[in-house]
Amino acid sequence: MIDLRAWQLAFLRQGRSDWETYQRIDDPAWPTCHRLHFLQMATEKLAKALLIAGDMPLDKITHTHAAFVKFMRVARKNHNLQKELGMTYSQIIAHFNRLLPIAREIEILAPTLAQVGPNPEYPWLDNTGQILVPVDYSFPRIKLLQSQPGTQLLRHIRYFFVAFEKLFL
Amino acid sequence: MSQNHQPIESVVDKLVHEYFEADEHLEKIIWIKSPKPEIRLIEVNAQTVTTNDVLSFYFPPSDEIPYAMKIAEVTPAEWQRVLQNEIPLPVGWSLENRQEFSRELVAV
Repeated sequence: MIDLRAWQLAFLRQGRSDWETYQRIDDPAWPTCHRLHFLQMATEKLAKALLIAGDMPLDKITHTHAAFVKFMRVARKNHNLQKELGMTYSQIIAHFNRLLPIAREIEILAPTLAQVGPNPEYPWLDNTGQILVPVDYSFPRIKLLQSQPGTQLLRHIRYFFVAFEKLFL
Repeated sequence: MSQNHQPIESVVDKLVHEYFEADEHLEKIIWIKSPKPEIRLIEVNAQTVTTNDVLSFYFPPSDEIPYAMKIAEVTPAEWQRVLQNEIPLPVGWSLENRQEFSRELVAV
């Protein structure tokens, strides 16, 4: 018998550690790729912590990487979250819709989803046949994180980790 | 502590209306009936991302919804693949005991 709660808390603990690391290295002195790598991993594990209690097989959860956007879309239906944010369902739908494109940019940083494109872990070939290395790449699309919706999304991610037990357990 | 004093059918009905009203892109909601006191929903929405999975997220009971909820969102194409058994459902879920709600059939 799998102890779902124990697995859920284990994913949450690792996600919190990824998030804390992201915050510690969220400094221009660190290469962008490393910051984004930890941000992508933190959000993936945040979503997976909720999938574990949702009847998903553990091996499937471990191997999937596209969970964060669906988490953000479904989390809007959580009444605890609506109450905490002081929003109705309609309001939170509209609010999160502005954040979802940025969430998707974070999600597709995972090498499996990035396929042959920019990712924060492995070198890739660009359209001209040049080898690009994550540590040398500026990740221009992820500059959306510095926009107002981007900072709101980061604030929500932080809140999800801080208040996970209150919202989701 | 939440109490299940509301019949599950009426809670699902309330949620279905709320979800259709708030999201114009929501095409269909499938209620997968469970022997457990929980609400399992699959929402078919063309706006969601394709993952080729039925990713079911768990929410605990709340004051407003006194049942645990497990919600998944799929694209219309993914839903067709679920119906053809090409994409598996979460563990313990079955299409045999389901109720479908279409926007056209739900007066929003």
